[in-house]
Amino acid sequence: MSPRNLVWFYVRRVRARLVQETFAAVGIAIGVALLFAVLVSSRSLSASIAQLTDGLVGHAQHQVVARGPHGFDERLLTRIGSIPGVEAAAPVLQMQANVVGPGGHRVVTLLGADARLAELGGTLLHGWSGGRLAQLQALVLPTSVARPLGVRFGQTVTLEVAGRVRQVTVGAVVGHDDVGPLAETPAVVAPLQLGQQLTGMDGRVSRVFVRAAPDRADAVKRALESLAAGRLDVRPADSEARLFAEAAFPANQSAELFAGISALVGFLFALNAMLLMTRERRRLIAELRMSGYGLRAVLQVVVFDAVVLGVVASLMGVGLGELLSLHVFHPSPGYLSIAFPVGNGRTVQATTIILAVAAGMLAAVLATFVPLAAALRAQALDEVQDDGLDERSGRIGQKRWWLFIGSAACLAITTAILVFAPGSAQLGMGTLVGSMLLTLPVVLTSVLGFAYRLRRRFKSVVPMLAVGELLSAGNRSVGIAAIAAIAVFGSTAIEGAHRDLQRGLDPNAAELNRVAPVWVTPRGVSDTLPTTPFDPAPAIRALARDPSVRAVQVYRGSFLDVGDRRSWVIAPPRGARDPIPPTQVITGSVGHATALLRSGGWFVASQAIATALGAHVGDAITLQSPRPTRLRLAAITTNFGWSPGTLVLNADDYARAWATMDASALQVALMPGVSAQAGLRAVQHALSGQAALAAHTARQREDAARATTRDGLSRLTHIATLVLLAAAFAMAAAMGGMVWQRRRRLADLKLTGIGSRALWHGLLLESAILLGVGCTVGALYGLYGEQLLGRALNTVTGFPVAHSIGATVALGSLALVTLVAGLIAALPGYLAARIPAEAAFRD
Amino acid sequence: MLDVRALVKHYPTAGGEPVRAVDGVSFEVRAGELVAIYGPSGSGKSTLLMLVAAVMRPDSGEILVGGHEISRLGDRDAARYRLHEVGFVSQTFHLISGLSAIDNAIVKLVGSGMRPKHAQQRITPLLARLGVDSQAERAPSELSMGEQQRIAIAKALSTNPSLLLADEPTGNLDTRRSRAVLALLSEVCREQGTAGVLVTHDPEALGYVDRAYTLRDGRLGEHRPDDTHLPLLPTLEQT
Amino acid sequence: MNRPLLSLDRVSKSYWRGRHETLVLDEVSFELDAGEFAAIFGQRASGKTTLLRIAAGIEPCDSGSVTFDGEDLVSRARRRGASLHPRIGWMRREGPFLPSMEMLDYVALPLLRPLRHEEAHRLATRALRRIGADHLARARWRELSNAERTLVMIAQAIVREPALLIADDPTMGLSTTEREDVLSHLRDIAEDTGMAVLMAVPDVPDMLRSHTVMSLSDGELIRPTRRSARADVIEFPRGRGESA
Repeated sequence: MSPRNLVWFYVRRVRARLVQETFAAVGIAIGVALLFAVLVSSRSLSASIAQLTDGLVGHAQHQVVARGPHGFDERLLTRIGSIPGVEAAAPVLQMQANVVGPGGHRVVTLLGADARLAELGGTLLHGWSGGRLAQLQALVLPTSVARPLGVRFGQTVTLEVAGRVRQVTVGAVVGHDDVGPLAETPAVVAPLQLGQQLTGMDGRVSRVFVRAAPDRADAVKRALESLAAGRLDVRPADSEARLFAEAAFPANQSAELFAGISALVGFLFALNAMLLMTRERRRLIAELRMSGYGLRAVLQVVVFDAVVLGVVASLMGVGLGELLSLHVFHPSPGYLSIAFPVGNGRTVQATTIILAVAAGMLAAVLATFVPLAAALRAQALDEVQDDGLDERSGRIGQKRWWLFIGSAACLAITTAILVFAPGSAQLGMGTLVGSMLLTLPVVLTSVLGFAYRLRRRFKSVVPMLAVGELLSAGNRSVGIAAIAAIAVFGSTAIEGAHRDLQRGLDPNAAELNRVAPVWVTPRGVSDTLPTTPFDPAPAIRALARDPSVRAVQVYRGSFLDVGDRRSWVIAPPRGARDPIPPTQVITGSVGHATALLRSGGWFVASQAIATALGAHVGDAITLQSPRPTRLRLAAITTNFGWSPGTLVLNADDYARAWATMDASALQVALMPGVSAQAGLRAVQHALSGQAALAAHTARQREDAARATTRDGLSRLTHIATLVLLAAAFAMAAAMGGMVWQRRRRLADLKLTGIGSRALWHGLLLESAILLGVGCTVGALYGLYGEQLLGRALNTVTGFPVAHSIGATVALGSLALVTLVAGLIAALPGYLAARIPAEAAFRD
Repeated sequence: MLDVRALVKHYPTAGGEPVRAVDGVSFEVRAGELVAIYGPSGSGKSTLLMLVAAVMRPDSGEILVGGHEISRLGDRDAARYRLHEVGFVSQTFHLISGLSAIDNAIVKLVGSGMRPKHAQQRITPLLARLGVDSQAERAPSELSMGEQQRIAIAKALSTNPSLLLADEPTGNLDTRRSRAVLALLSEVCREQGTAGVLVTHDPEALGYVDRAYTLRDGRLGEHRPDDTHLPLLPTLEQT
Repeated sequence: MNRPLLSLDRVSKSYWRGRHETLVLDEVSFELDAGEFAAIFGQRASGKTTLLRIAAGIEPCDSGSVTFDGEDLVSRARRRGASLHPRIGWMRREGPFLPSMEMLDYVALPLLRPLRHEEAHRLATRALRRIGADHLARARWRELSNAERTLVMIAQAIVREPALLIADDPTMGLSTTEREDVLSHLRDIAEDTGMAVLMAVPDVPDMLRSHTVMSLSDGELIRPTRRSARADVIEFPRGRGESA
């Protein structure tokens, strides 16, 4: 058939069935939109880091990086430069800071660099000549920072860094045109010397990036290692991205799971679309064959249909997904931004669009091809009775044994994964869903059979009609129930795991912070995990004079890269009340470990870190701190919610290993009878001269910590809710379509004298049965899925998880789906029930 | 039992004259009688049936069933009337394939408030009379056309209606079975004292009805021989 | 043309009706020449429709052979993705799959594959005109009377100018005059264009327009020896003989 004819024919046909086609397209579009939004959201974070890394690193292969926040002597640079094979070496100073402007404040990564960075080929300083940068005694802000703060070129901002407060001019605001996607990252650039002045790290740098001649790369690396002499790390230039990937792993895992569920919802929509369109397609195919169209011509028409539907649905979906991504699923790095310069810019990669569109096309193709397959199976050219969905006999469940065995097998696999290999949680979820879908027809038949037997007890004709119709529509009924089941399953499993995770993390926040009533830390959001160093002496002196203060202890902490893990180092004061959160110990005893920790020379680590160090409880290892130190492992804990892992040692050991007397926080003990609030006010008063420091009560810190984790995890709830709503919509459409197709039979019943009300109640009962069975099965399986996810999170990522059975969540999902779908489906049911008996006579 | 007086129903058309589907029709059917109505297919005959079944309201005229005027009933009352007083049989059966044959047959009884158990007991003798009681528990898809038709007839007669309305009931059946169904309808009407109206093309029916009419251009007239084709049996000349 | 256009040889077919298997056609054989107008008479549900569908290649028979213009229609019907033979026209009854389709578009549908749609429409108009239904080009199915529908369906069946037109009960639901009209058209088509016409009819008088009559009863096809001059007498053989 010529393309012109195809188009003409399509247009002629679509006018008559615009409603169904639109429904089908919208349905698929929703699935595509969810998939797209979730993918964008999860990929943006990694993309942000990758872009920043590329922007800095250019063509450099190696970097020499300090292990602690205090950097190393910049004179090392000369020695690096003299290594044979080194083409370029550029120093970078890096520190987390807070920028305050008229519009608020922002956590940024302050980067000090000079013209040598441009020699590496990175885009960050693209176009800036060396001289220009050095003359600019000002900061370069990206638009993602400047806009929310309301600052422009030439204005002054307050920079809070390393416990100091400085006023700095904004020398330039760079946008997309200047530095591309780097404009979205919170990286503030300053000339190296200015940066060193601002942070108090005169003569020191954090990293040196090295570009070697391509054939000398290994030799250069060995030379660098010997230069580092065990006090500095030599890593690949792009290792930041890898460290980030490790840290973001649980977030990415859950995002991928969601992407999977979204795709599944999209598939359900395809199923729904197919249910709506299949009869018309069947008749079309029969008509074409009876008009002499061979297989090729029929395929042309059908494929054209699929392509149009797919393209329209995918475009709609990507558009809708973009909206979702902008307003609902914006990437939120949450806790990750404490340790990584990751922004919340959105990156839409080409692969994301391609993937989303491919999913939409696949759904459209499936929807269109099922009736074709049924047609080709038929004996006669013009057969339209069997549209591949309803069984002739009208009774489902004939393959009961096969279904049962298949379902049990899938369930067994899931259980095996749960017990032995929780890391393969995604596969486990897949087999769990498989088991559920195989169980569903069996359950539905049994329920219907039971209801059928019960019908003799009811005086009303309504149950008879409802059950009879459901049994007639066999596979179609199962399809609708399946949509309900998957939706409730997804939201129950994910929401349940989410809550378990939250409940596991919450006590953690309390335990870490309640050791002192008032804390003093450098100002800025980054003090949630106290890891920014500052000189405590002035503050301690000021506090000592206040009568409400009983004692001030120094707390230390930072991040240490152990292998691919940016682990969180916690170093509470020796005399601290509970240096180790009591509920987080996995191996070893709390009391014993605490005593060891206080005595010195011992440390405590989370499981992943212990494994990375190759240590069991009691073993001695050499910690690769700025000054390598020998310590023994006292106990193994959870990761306190910081997914790469944590280390705990006492503050004095830390001071030795990090070669610093700086504090990361001050723990203030109050006089008896002084309330936390009163103590806070006293401390704030005492510190009024120290603008860069802030004081908070333990409670405030706890709430802030909770808020951060909640923020990161709240996305899970959003997605779960949207999935539910989307599925409810799909179901309602499918049920509505099913009922609408039955109009003739309803008219006939009217003719026999059954009234509108009885008919409507019958339709409602049908919906109730389908939804009830689907949602219940989904909820039960969802509870199992919750256990699987929880165990995966716990074992694989080391998160503290409070295992429970999320019955409330399950019921909530069930209720929501049933309510929404029921309401939406009630309308076509009501309309269909009002059909006049006349319709039974029409041709 | 059925008394139709000066019944008129017109349908408006897009532009011009309204279609006179039923244009001053009057006739009577006594209890136990079966009458046939012939005529060109389409509008008129179906409309007449719809009016008598209170599916539609006439423009003017009266329809009395057992002395009660039924042409202007409200929706609820019309439904009740159809449930209790009318049995409808047509070409297309619309049986619910998920219900067994006997459950399909008792839909009207249960709809009128009877318990399914009682309804089943009540209908079994009728099924036996129609020769399908052994198929009672089967699904409709397992029955032949004729058996399905008889289930439909059982359903129609289940509430002992005053009227039996049949719309081309033999349309899908072969001659032998047509005759069987027509005989059945005739007998049952007589036995139960039901007034039967049979709308058909089938010339076979003439042998089983008490009277035959033709509806032409909305008017009812006596049936004439060339309104249907009397079967001309071919003369066999043996060679 | 020596070879018959359509030839059925010992065709048998059974169906499952409910729980029983019924033998609908029992070793039926007949031949049809080009330009011949043949009618098959039989009671309702005697298998006429099945016979016609097998003859058209819409569905396969269980045993026996069907040859059209030298081609084996049975294996053609069994092929996946089979379609109606391009030189066979089948008169449909159900109406277009899209109720709101205009009749001209519907009649033109078989031609949309090979031709541009303007050309297809031109030929469709011509087919409608030949059958005297060109005033129905813009009408929709539900607006048409039975007679008008019959004419449009015939036009749709002949639009591809087939060698063989098969019509299943073309006079169903028509009044006497309407039947005459349709049957005359069919006869004219057969005689003017040399198209063979095979139709199934329930009643004897309908048969009288045709060249050849056959009777189908209990799955067996019986062919008469000759037609006599009297219009209402048709002779049926005890044995076999030549056709008229």
